Amino acid sequence: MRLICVLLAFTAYTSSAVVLTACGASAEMRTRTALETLAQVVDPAYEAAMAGCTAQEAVVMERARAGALSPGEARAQLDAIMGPCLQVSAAFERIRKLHDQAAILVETGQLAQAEQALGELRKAWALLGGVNP
Amino acid sequence: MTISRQVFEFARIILPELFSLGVELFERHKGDAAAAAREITRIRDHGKKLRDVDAANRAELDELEKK
Repeated sequence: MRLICVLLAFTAYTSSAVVLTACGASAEMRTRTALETLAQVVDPAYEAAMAGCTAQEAVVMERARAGALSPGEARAQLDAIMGPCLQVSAAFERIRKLHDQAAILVETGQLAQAEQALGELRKAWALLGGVNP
Repeated sequence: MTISRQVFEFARIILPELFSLGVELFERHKGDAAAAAREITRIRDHGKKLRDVDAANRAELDELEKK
């Protein structure tokens, strides 16, 4: 009878281990996929926003080279372009850092913290006008 | 039911469970190895490129001012 009790306890232990292992693997895959999907959406959006700013600066520089703008006027226009661009860049940088943080947490198996960082990341992306995939 | 019969019945139940556990642990280990090999795609620092271009443009304006 004692043997049966020991074997029953062992069965319960192994069954719970199997369930926990399966759940952990599923959560990791879900978080990893969400991070991959977000990176694929955020990265080109960040690149396009910054490319737009670079293009605006290029127009000002062309005019300055052609003599249509004095260096002082051109500098003022660059300031006017860079102000909002730096704000957008800062918002994307926050998202980038949250993404890096979440990725490291997933790689190191800290899934609860990774999911928390992912939640913050989704909020920051939504604030920037992004649609969460 | 005798004790030996009970043990036999129990073994009949537990052996497939243990086999499943072994398979699960193996799959998990294989998954971990694959995950370690595949790094999550990173978002690049596109802001740095803009800041570099802006700095270069301002340096060019300084040069234009000197002429």
